[in-house]
Amino acid sequence: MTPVTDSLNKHLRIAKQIIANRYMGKPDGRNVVGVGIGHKLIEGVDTGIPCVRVYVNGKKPCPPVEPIHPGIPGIEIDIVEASIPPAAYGRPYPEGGYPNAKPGQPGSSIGPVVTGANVSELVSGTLGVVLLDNSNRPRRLVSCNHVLSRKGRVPMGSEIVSPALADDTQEGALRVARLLYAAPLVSFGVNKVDCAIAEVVAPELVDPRFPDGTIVNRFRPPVAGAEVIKFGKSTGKTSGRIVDVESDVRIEFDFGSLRFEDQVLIEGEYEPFAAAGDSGALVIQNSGWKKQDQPAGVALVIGPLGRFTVACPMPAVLESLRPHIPK
Amino acid sequence: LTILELTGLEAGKARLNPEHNLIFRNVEIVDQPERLAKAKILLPMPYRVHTPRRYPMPSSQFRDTTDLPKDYRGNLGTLQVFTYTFPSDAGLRLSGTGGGHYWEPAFTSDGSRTINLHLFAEPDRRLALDHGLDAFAVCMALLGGLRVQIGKSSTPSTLFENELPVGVRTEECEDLNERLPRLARLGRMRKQERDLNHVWFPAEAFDAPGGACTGPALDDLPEDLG
Repeated sequence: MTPVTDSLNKHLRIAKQIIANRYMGKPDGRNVVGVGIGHKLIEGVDTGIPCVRVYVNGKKPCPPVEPIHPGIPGIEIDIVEASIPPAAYGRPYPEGGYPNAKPGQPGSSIGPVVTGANVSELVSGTLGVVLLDNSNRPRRLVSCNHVLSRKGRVPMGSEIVSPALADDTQEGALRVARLLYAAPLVSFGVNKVDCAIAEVVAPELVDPRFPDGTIVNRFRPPVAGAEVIKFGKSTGKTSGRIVDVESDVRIEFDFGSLRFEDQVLIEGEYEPFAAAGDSGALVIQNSGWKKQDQPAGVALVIGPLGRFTVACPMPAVLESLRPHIPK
Repeated sequence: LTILELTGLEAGKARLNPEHNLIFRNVEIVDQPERLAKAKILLPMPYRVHTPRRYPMPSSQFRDTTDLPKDYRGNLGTLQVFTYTFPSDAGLRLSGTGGGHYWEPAFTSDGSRTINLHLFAEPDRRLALDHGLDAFAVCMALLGGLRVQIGKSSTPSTLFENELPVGVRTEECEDLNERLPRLARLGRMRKQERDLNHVWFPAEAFDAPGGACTGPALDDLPEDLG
């Protein structure tokens, strides 16, 4: 494992920015769809060597890469194919596992009651986590901005239901919360998070436990190489590994194409780690911490980058929502 | 009522697969379908039929099963691919009301020697919450008020890519309400001078996908619909 000195870290970040600005999404034949920082893999084996990871939509011959910068020596670059067909890397999900989350529980379907003509009635995602107060009462629900607020199109104070109306097969959607705040998503510029918070209005209908019975009330920075799980309303419980914690990507929404930086990328153990409907799911690291093995939330699922799942880091999520989280 | 007829094809004898479709037998369409339908499209019986996208909906999820056929196998087809042979592309046309519908058949030149015509029976925007239920109810009314009501399903319609016939690609199986946002995305990418080859690259946020429309099929069809 190559130690990451401050100097190396700084050079990696500069190199990443240069490559992202120069090639990401550009029609120059390089097919670059994302740029991040992680370990270099050789034939699937982690070498432990820090590198700039360049994610491409299929490897193919392309024009030579210009030198990154004369002042940045010896940066390793790994070209990672993000769009390998599932059959080439996937393994089938094992049978069994946890049942789907119940309404009002993390991992369950959630969505706003839509009243405007500028939002699809079918919008739905996953309830990521329930935040408790000092008396262990459910106070806040966290999910994605594009699920609960649709980039400001859903008015603040709107009802939040679980399951989302699109998933309400029994006509029993629970009015569990009201929209309190959504971290702004910007069309011009770079986004760090896609998250929103709702105030619980019916605590008796909200269960803070995940389907496996755990309560997550610790949050930590995501770490490359960590084994993680998530509970999503579409794919349920899945497991995977964090491969990048500083990726720059572009996510496509019905309301536009937005650029994000310093995002977490996760590769599913069984593909995919997440799918449509899993937006907002909390990425959980169960073990591997130095002091104690307690589950901790590390990121919030927002979308795909080919075969990878993109999630925004929980420290940034909590920072953006902090004024609305009760002490 | 717009009436169109696909002509220039050689008729076949294929039937819908009952494993993949809800099929009513010995049922006739109401006398004045124009009250309920926007258009009537006459197609010859195809040479082959595939139903590569389906809603799994067991009988237990129906709200009313009074007239549900006993041999229903639990799937509602949401995409039908009819395959025909034809002697010449020059003879293909959608004839009918108002001079027919403009369509210039074009070979896709992908080696499959096929021409594809897509017919959509759905809105061109994100579907309303109860669109599927409402559309199915209209179908039942068209069949004389059969007492069959589907329920809501949280399971999405599934495309079985390995069942697509030669000449059909996954990308062209998108619903109209998915295809138009894709075109909007293409337009944005062009204006942003981005790589247009990425328009199909999976980078769409993980909010729930749009639904798909479904309806029943008839067998032993009346002559004018055969």
